Amino acid sequence: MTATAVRARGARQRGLWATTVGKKLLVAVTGLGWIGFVFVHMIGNLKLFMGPEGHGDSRPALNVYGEWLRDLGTPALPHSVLLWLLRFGLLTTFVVHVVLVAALSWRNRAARPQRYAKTAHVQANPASLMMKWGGVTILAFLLFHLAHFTWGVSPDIEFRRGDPYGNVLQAFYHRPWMGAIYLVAMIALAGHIYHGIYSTAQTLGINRARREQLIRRIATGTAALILGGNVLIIVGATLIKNPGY
Amino acid sequence: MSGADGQVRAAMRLTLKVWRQADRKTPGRMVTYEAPNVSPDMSFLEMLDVVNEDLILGGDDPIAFDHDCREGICGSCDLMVNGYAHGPRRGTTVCQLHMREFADGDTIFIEPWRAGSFPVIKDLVVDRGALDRIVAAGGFISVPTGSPPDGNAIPVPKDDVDRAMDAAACIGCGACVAACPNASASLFTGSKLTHLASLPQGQPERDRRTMAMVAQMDAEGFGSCTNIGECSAACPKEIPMDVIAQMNADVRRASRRAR
Repeated sequence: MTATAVRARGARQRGLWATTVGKKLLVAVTGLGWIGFVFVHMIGNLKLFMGPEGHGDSRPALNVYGEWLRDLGTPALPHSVLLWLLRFGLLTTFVVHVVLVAALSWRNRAARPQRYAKTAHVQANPASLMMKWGGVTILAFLLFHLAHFTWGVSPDIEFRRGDPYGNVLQAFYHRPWMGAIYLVAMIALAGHIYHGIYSTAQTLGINRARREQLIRRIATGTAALILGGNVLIIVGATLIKNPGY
Repeated sequence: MSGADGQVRAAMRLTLKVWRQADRKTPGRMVTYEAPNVSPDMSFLEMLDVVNEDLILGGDDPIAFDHDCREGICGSCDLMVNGYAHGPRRGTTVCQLHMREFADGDTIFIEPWRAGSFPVIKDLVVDRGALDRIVAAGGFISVPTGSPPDGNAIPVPKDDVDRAMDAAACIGCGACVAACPNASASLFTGSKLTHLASLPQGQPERDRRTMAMVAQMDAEGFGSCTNIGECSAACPKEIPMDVIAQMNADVRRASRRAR
């Protein structure tokens, strides 16, 4: 029995998760979960446009929404518990996504030890070719964004816990360079979502030649929706003057 | 020079940059050759034949390359031409690529398929045994020998036949692996699996076949699929990407049913 046959038999006995197909399945499902998160996050932050007295009381709608998130699950659960559970779930799926992609990328690199002297592409698009580096960009941005608005460790704003509305306007108002950083990250995210959705349809095995166009459209539509909503937030935050600062 | 249509076409002068490698162990390098008298009506392999004749007359080692039928159906020829598997023309093997696709004065890069699973044997010839081993792992149906069954004994829906035959068009040339940025063999394995999974004769061994062939594909060290689509674009038989989706679906099916 050859060495590869022995290795193949081992992989067969270990089943789905030992195969590259099984690993990609987990990458697809965790990615899909994160697309859902990004969408909800966008909806939440669009409340920026409801202004400083959005719900008719004295508080900005964005802050009311933030408090509502912490109140999720109460009174059945103590304050913030469900939010922390959701955060834990997000973190876990993120780690699974990144670790598996790293392992698969490592394998893909090793699969072609000698590069071509000349390469050409026919079908590839920037989104599909940049999947890995787009992902790294998103990871770097995520840490920046969390430091900025969740951990409050960014030196450039006077961070106030419980006042996301004020924090966002402080960070963006009349600072187009901050908007530019966020814009670059949102473009990377849109490309990642576009190819991610198409790839997910392939990995889950639901793509067929006759559905290819439809799936491409759904991918484009979702990426455009999330890009559009987030760009609106960036532009709005850059232009809206917060009377409090 | 006179072509098949009787028109006289000027000969082209081309510069070739060709990968030369003495054997598996010796490191190779790109070597530049001049091809001063190339007819636009030659096939790409005929052009190499002419270059080789000059090399042989000059006492040099001719460029080794794989070829057999030269009519686009055997899957033997396998050249990376200017970064395109089988050259820039779509749906065409390199033996069916003609020099009229190029212009006088062009520089053409000619390289072997690059993949760790396809070691170079000599020059442009690579060992594609890894693909054979994927098929040997389960890409067949087990039938007792005997008299041939009646042709219409098992009715097969037309759509299923079409899908099976489209997938079965795979000639196993390995262009999908060569063109894939990840050197993945997913289109190849997906074709073989979809071919048999679409037909009633392929059902009894479907789950075992799927897991065995995917495990073999992984064990050979091919990369994983990131659905870029270069494989399908390079495929001389234009096999669609959805055979990979079929493979993925069947892996899930097989592992679900194994429980």
